[in-house]
Amino acid sequence: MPLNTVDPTTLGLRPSECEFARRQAGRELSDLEWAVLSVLWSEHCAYKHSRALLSRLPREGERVLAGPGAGAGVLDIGEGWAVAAKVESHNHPSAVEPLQGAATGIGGIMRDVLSMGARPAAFLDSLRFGMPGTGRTDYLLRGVVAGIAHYGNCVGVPTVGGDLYFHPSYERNPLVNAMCVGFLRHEQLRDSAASGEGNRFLLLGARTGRDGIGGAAFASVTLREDAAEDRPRVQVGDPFLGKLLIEATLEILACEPVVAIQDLGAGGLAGALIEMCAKGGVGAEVWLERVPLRAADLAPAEILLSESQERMLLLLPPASIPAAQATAQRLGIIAAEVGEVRADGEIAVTMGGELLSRLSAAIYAEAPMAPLAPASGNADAPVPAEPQGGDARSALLALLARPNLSSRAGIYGTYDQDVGLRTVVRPGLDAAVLRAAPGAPGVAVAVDQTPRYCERSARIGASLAVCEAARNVAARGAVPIGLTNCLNLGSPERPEAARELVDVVDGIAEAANELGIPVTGGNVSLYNESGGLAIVPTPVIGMIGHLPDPERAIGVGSPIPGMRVLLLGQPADRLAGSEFAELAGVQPAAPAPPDYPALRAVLNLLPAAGAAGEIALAHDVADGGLLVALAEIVLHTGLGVSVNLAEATPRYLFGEPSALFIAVTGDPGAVLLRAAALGVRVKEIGEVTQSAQLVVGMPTEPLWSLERAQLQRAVGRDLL
Amino acid sequence: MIADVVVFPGSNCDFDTLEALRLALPGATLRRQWHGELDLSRSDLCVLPGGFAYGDYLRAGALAARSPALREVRRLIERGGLVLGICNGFQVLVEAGILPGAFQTNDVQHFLCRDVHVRVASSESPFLSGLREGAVLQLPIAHQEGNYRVTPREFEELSSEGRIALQYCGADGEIVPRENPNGSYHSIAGVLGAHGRVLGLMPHPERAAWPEIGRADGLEILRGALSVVAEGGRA
Repeated sequence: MPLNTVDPTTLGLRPSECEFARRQAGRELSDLEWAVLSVLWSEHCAYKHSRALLSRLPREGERVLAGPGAGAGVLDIGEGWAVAAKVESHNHPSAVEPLQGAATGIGGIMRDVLSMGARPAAFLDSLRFGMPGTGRTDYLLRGVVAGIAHYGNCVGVPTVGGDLYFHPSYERNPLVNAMCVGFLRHEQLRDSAASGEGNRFLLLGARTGRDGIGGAAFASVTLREDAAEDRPRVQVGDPFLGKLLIEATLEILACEPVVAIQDLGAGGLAGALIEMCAKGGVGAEVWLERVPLRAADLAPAEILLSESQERMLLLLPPASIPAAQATAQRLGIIAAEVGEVRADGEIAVTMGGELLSRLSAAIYAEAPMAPLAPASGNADAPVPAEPQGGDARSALLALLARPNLSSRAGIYGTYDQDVGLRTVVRPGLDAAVLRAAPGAPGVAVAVDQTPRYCERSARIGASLAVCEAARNVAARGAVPIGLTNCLNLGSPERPEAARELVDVVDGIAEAANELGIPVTGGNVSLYNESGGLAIVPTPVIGMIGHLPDPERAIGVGSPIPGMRVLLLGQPADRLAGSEFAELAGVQPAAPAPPDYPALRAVLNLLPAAGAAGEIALAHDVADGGLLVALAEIVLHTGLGVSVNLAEATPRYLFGEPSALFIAVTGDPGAVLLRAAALGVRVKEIGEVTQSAQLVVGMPTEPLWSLERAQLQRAVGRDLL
Repeated sequence: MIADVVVFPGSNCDFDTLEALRLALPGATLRRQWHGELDLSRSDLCVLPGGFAYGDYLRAGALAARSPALREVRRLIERGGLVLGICNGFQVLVEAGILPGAFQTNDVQHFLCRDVHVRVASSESPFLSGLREGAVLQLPIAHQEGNYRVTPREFEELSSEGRIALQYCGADGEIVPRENPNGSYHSIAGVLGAHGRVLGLMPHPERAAWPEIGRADGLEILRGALSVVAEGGRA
């Protein structure tokens, strides 16, 4: 076997980790082994700083069919259907090459969902950039949006949601978190644990090239000043091949007795194969000479670690290999037998019959944990004095024009939102609605996180992100049944960022426990800092809400003039953390912690009232507060809203509460009865009108109004 | 009645189209056929679905148009069968020279997905026989290269032969530039082949075949094939 010539610490491994590996192996490792280990033990693959913490998140739930550790979380939605969902980051690549970075982020998360046996059905994207208007931010935004459209539209999976925020801390470290949702029948659920000595590994999809070598390691350090130099580490996506891969994978899964399946992502072939083996407690012999290559001169370590896109690894009994290969060939995609299961737990890498390495799968798979040294918690910043209200009408227009509130319609318009026939409610307000198939059960889906909230309190901000995501699916009448998350933070080696990591996990755990929503998995992206500037802690929450009858979800029909407008829940009692406070130039302060009892009550009410057909439209009060939410209803429906509000204080009009909805109903009596029974505070504030304008009456203020066209001009800023 | 949906590598609306045809053509035999094994000898209707055939590499529809499958499609047309090209399928028919014209990138220079209104400009086709001229339909579009071009002379010919099938318009049916989403010449959204038995259109009728969610204006186009079968089959 080849000997050791490199110093493994030059590959990013710490001296203590090298010692640990040598002790476990009982010998010095070879260059090839160090190369593989340095990738599999990177933060991106091994979750060294976060794995212990993540066990604080609740993961039990009666609908959970697969949870953390699986390629994607899987939840039961009834009638034999299940939904698979996961969110993952592709931040560093998108900072360097936005179009391909985003495209491959979409492709990567799509294959995670595919690996569960599910048909990918929808994408959502959570995007964060520095303030718009600078050449670099505009370039990154345009590139990322184009990358999402390029991959998603072609691969035939609609993009149905997402969120987009601008904050100066993302200037150098933009975030691209992609979520994929897929549907499957329960019996189609697959696992990645390898088993059965002699079973064969079939590598399906693209030829292996030199792209993305060391991508996982690249994602596990802070971006360099000359980050553009890292462009070769960014993979290139091919959505056409991605589409062929979906169809070939699903057809082979349907027709052949596939034992296990895993997508190739970080760490390439080595990452997938070793993870499958370690999970199943077996080993494998790998035949590198059989891996189809794009360039003939790839070194063994490159073949093992290449992150070439659009590849899946399937494990099949030897007798089924010819049929699987025939299916692949008919559909125009390559399938190569690249190894077989060994019972002894060793990973033996061979090339042309020569043994290059033999090491236990368990050694590769069990990276030593890295200790966290969090700074002690800061006291929350004091709540500043409230700015004075001034003119509510002008403030509303000013808020609507803020980059974080302005219209995203132009961006959504570049994504196919409908392909697949599953989109029942398109993106626009709160959450989109998907059906597993016409007539089948479905889900409402949303991703959320508000940087402003997390800036002053990572913990409260994280719990508020869970609350907002839950509110968004509840606004479609759905019951939140599971969440997936992507934790984006700075370097965990810095005590302040370590503290933030602990805080966001605790904040998510608190809200998930309070609301009874299991966490079905997620992704951690650390080292989002460069040049001394770290991002605001960004715990992105992807929420799945259950809808037994999605075709009757709230928002499928349209409101009718004359319908009543109700406020359900608890109005805001302070301005801290709000967009209005930022607009008014008030020192940012921590937002109020979530009002869980009020939120639980209204989360119970909406699905019941929605299923009974009592609510035509619901919208949660979030960014910008109550007036902004009312304006958004006028913009969304093309109808008018006329209201009389109880207070004219800025906190009531512009505060951002954690448990407040606007509901439009044709049957206010029924909703009032339900509200009383469930303990939901309710107030009728006005009605829907034919004339497209927002009319607002407030105590001691003259009545004022804004035409829909005026609102449109305010939000209509073209971000692309 | 036998209806076939052709699947090219990269087609992505094939399942959707089958699902909608199931609803629109009750009792019909529906087949999803891989392009390499295409057999239309017993077919009454062939649909070229939306998607990105061959990744739309080179030009949208250009590679699929040169696939041997198109020989089968031409034979079906010669026999008087019906052919419907939706979005990418329309692009394939144009690239194959079965329908006139050419496509450019949308005038906004990016992909567009939204509902549009289209006005039925001719009912001289089985696909449009259930609709009256001037009827307005609400249908979704989803394309990057939908800017349909013909020469002024070709436009005159198509018009005089009643082969302009659909034009983008406002909700009131008015054909004006601001309601033209992609810059198509004279707001053309769909054209007919000779004898009206071939229809190519950019909007997706299969995405609007669903009354339960309030999108049903595409059903009538998909049902059109029934009119021919009711008359006694192929001409």
